[in-house]
Amino acid sequence: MYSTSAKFDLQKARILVVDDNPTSLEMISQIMMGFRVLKLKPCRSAEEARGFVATERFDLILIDFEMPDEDGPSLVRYIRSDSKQPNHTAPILMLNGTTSLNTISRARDAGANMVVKKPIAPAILLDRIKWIARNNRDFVGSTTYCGPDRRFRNLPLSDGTRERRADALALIADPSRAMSQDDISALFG
Amino acid sequence: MSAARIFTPENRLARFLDVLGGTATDELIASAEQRVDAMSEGIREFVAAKLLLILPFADQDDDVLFAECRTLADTATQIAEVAAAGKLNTVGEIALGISAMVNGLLTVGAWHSEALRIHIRALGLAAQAKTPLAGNDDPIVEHLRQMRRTIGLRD
Repeated sequence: MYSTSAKFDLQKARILVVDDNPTSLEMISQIMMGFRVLKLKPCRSAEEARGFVATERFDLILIDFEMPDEDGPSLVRYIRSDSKQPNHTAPILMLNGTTSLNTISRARDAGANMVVKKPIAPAILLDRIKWIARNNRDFVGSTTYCGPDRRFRNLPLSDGTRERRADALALIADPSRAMSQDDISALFG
Repeated sequence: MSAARIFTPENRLARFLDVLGGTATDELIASAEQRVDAMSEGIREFVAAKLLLILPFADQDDDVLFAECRTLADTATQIAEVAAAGKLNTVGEIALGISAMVNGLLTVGAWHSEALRIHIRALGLAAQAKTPLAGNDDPIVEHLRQMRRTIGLRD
């Protein structure tokens, strides 16, 4: 997934960051400013964010998974639920310190494009933004889900291959195991 | 059952990548890391304030621990989310372990007061270390992780 060096100009990108932890929110904001983002909207709660996502169009939304009152997956589902909303198909990165398969699956099934492990490392965050920018992933809209197509590439199996790769099976064998950032990224295709 | 609709939305980030006049990613990353480094003193103060809320739980009885476990986990999570950026890697890893222990209670019903108290005391000791500890590779972190595995919890 890691790509070669590239050039970004994020000065005109409109980015929303939602995190209840004030220090984490400030840290992510500083990282974004380091990425030369000028149009940044920081929010301390899902409730505050709902007001912005209903009225403003964002090019990227970063949402903390664990928040009191309303958590990240709930906010993602809200954003994805209404096709008339300006951010219905906006790229959404979910941020979380806990990386069990259960947690990652919840984020993915809510409609997030990617999960990034906290504490945030600028290099990893920018790499994931770059990955989203380079991948025109299809969306699936149905009565129960709206978001990036969760299927892996639909390719025929190699000659002699009878089932999924052993490493993929091992990855999902223990849903409570903490996953590395590479494991997480692999689950998003 | 209605059919699913598959469509390709506009890629909102594509127009910011590989553009004329753009900045190399290495330069952007270095700039972001400098800004995070500049926050390290503030992060350490934030963590110290949160530790004052967590450490007294080590001396509380089971009923209080159980009743306040959500507050404990939320505070530990707040520490874990930022501690590494303040060069407090081991503190962050232990805080993540506390959060995992409480989540174990909430998801699989596993409750181990003594193990939780040991985690809290370890957090206090790690916070007092005069030199930076090794974070994920620290023996304290590994011992606590093994303890959680022994009682059936995973991070």
